Amino acid sequence: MKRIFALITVALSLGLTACTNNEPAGVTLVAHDSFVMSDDLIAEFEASAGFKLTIVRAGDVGEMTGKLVLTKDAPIADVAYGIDNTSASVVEGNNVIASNSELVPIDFADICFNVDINYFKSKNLVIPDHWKDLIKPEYKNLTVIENPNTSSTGLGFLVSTFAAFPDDTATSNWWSSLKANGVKVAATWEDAYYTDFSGSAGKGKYPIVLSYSSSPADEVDEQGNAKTVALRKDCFRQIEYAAVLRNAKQAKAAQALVEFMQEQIFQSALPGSMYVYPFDENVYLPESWALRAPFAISTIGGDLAIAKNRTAWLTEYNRVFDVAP
Amino acid sequence: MAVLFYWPLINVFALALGPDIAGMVNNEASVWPVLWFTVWQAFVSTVICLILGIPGAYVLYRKSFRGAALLKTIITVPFMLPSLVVAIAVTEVAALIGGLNPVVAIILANVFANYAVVVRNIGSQWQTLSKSTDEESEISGAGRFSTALRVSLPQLKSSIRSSSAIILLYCASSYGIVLSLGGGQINTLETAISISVLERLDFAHGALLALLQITFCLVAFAISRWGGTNPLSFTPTSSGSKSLDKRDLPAAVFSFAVIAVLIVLPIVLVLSKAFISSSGTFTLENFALLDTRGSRDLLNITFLEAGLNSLRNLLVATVVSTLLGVLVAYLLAEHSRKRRRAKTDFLGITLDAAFLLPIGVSSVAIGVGYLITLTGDLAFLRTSWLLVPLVQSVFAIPLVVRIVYPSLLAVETITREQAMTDGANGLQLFWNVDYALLRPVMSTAIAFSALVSLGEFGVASLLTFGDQATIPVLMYQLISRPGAQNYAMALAVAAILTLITALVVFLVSEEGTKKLRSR
Repeated sequence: MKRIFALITVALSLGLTACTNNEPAGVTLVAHDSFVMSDDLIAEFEASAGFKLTIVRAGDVGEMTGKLVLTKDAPIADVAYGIDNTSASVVEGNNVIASNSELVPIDFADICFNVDINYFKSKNLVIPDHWKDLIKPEYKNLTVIENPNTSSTGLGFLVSTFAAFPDDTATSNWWSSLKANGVKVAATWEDAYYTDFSGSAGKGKYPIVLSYSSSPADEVDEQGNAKTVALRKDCFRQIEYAAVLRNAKQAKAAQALVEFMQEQIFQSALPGSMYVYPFDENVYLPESWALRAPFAISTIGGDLAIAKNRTAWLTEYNRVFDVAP
Repeated sequence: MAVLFYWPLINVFALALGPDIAGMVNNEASVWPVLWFTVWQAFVSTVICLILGIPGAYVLYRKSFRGAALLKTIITVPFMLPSLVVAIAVTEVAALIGGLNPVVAIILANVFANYAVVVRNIGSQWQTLSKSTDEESEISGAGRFSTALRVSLPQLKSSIRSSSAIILLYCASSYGIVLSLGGGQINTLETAISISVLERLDFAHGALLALLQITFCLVAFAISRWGGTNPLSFTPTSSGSKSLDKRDLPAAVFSFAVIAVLIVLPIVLVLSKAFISSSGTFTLENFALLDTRGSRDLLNITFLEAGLNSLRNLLVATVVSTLLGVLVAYLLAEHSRKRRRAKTDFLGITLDAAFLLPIGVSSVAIGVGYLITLTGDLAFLRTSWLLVPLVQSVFAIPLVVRIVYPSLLAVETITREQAMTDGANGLQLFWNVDYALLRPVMSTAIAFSALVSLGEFGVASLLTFGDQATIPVLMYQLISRPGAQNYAMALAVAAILTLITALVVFLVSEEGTKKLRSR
């Protein structure tokens, strides 16, 4: 039966696509929705590599990873960017990457809470010192986080909570207290930051948001004063990778693209375009970043066995929050 | 049908009933709460539909007044709207009244979309009830309300049962609605299936959830078929109804208010918001945005390109479903003519059920079936664009059968016999007699299967990748990401889809057909 089905479909698709297959040689990059590459950079790559670049956005990191695995035999792109250290294990375990390639680190970002300074000033409220303090009564109904089931930001933070307490029971208790303290859970980082957070464009109701240490770089008022600040203790460091996909149609151009992403010109554009730190330490950071978007003071969770525990941690989170995906 | 529908379905069953099942069922957190919420929200929505809809059925079908036909058409529009447009309409209502709890929003969306099922289905039966019983009851002093409650409703049992079952079924498979209004926090079986499969890559768990989803829908579906009424009839037989009078005032006022608030308001909000700029003037700006890829270039393709994908899928799906659907209906009709005298006709019932089943099965569950089935040598088909329209046609076939079959049966045997005496062969018989008499029904069938393909979201979201996205897939990407420009684009598309749907529903409605004929 498989054969009949295949024959019918192949015959039909051949018949219908036969006349449209004369496109110029191009390389396709699949990335998460937050990926930004300026037209100048695209032109630079196209000129140096001699290939036209097409960018396909495939949702959040989790969604993109799923699509990569589901389409690994006939991949939708040649290169993937944005697989991170919470999802790397899925990609590696499913034979998605070309055998002569590997996950190449491109950039990193520190997942930290941000607070709306004006709100705290106007209410005479002390800015919390550590995210563990968010369960205190003075911060009731002030915090919005991302659902770790649907957001890699949320997932990274979930990992850090399992690193911050002596045992898993203590972690679960902290999460229960956070829920009891009126935390709002948004589906994606963009929802939380742009819609629910009071310190950014959306002017939402929540003055504390789970975001990145670099986010305050973009939140400056007309006098040049910072509007938000990050809580930089015990953050999770999210590392983003690029890799050539197995069965890539343009393997050579794909390799060239991954190399281009490691070059100075691409690396130095990262803070401005995606609010992440370039992985290459020698690349200059914008001046304003030293002031408003320094790295986390300390990071935790990166050394945990994320691949092994991911499902168990999510199940525990879902138990506390009573959502069942 | 066997290849396109039953094969993936069987694979889902096989995987779900695999060795891991005990462990997964025991893992309560991952199964039971979603199952409970799915069933619970479906039941609540159904009860609300019945309470709001039964007076409407009475007013619109048992009684007659000027504009009744138009109202019948208007209430049908939400039923045929793509689920994401329903979600946008409810989002607009929520914005108007200052926010809605996601669970309430989901239930409101379900009621908005399914109100017509109660009104049309129960109304059609109510129309045929004898009027003398009502009159007798009134002579003995009962009011209209108690007559309806004590005399009419018991007689309407079969249509109440079948429409409830149909609504349960639709509410349990309203993937797009739950996905966009639930915001990732509220999950039904379908959204849980997609999370398990697309993000966790846990196919076994997804298959188990799909199995529960299919079982629930099959039960509801079986109940809806039990009474023998046709739950998806679009052309009720009308008989002389009494005109509205003063004593119907409560029911009439109630129903008009429900239709105004529940049906008309959300549609008007979508249309007006799409055409009105933030400063309150008429504008087409939102529509001009459709040539872009959204703020921060979120979309991979523009709506124009997605429109072409959708149109291509629509053409394939409509042609396939119409051809197959008519063929099935024809075979069923032939069969039932031959077997007219037999009391129990198992083959007929089985055939009927086999081709109607897809109506009762969630598209997400079938999408998962495809993802499990297309492995190894067939994996490349996962990324073939043709897959989506073929699966969509499977969902449209039952609709075509339901629309065409009753009319085929109604073709007078004597006309056919005369034709045969005159020496017509099978093909001539079909073309000159059956097809000629079917033409009006055919346009309905084609129109509705086109709408099914156009608005279909579950399969498309699971099986389209990259530049093959369809209009509903793009709409979901836009409404699931914040940004005024993104939402403005989604609104514009919602308005276009609403207008198309309204136009199609109007054209195939009784009134539309009459108007066309008189021209």
